[in-house]
Amino acid sequence: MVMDTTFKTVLAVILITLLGYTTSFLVPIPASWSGSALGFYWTLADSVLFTLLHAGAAVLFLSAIGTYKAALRTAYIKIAFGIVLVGGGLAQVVFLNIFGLIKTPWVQYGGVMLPFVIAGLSIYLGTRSMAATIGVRSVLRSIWFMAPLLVVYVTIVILLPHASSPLPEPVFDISNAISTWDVVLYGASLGLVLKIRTYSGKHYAKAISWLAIGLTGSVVITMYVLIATLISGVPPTGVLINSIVTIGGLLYLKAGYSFARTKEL
Amino acid sequence: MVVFKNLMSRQQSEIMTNALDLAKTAAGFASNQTVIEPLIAETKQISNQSYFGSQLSRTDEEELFNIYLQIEKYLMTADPIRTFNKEELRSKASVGLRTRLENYEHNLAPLPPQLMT
Repeated sequence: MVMDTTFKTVLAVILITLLGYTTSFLVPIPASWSGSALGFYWTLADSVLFTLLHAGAAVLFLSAIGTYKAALRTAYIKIAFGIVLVGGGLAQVVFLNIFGLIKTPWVQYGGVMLPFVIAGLSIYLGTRSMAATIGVRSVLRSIWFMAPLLVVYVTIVILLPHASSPLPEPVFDISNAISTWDVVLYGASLGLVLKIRTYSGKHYAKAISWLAIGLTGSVVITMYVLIATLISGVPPTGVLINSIVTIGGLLYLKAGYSFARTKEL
Repeated sequence: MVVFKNLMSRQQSEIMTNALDLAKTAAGFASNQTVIEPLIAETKQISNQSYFGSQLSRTDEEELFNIYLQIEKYLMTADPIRTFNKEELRSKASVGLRTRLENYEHNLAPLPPQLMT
């Protein structure tokens, strides 16, 4: 069987991801880890898994950009950068936790949340550029609509009653504000992608649909993080969140693969 | 792996033998369908009126070639996300279909001045 380049790329991404996942079980447990050995390995392996899946998705998105004009290339790069930051940001939280770096200034001064802020913005700006390039008209493209919308939602979430948290109130509020920021920006990106879907030809239908599914995954994940944090007072951890983040990575991988396929006629 | 299909084996089955498929496929490559909406509407009209799995009439085929050439020109010069070339757009047309298209195209082209007299 002869394999084409896109298929080889996705195979390589899957193999590297599996290799990274299994290699995680060979890492020595640091002295800072206070939980069980199994807990350490599953946590580390999961974070490696969703980081590599998101990075692989970005590679696939970027593998097709040579085919397209400069404006769409810029849009693709923004989306891919955002996807990498989603995976990297989530993995970073896990790494900081397992290597006992929670008390570092990077975490204490909120730097840890920066990838999530930039990821949401980058993916939104990418889909916005894509919509503008194609000529899609939507209120979701307007900064004058999006900025007040973000302010309103963030304010509402900060004012919502919540369970008591071990985190200082301002840190807790900033964390929830960032989750809200992402929910709104992923939601707006999803709206734009669905609008693009109605404009685009059949050739792009599958790729755009998968991007919409990937973004739906991001909306669900960030919404879950936000609601769980408000209910329990701490961000969710464990098998459930790791599993849905992994599924989110797989959805972006499929979206990236479908986009890579659009270069072929 | 079914989700990530290797599409190499699909190539042969995609060869187009009629002008309707040629026009429809080309329309599917446009990133903004609204720009070529009148051409899509014309294609649908011909499809609805005269094509029931049988051969297209010569007039319908010529009309579809005309539509295809307009879409092809749009894809090669004005599509906002990608610049296509004639060869890649026509690569899935069967030899017979491509010959008929090129004959039609040749007949449309203005005659050189020396042949006008």
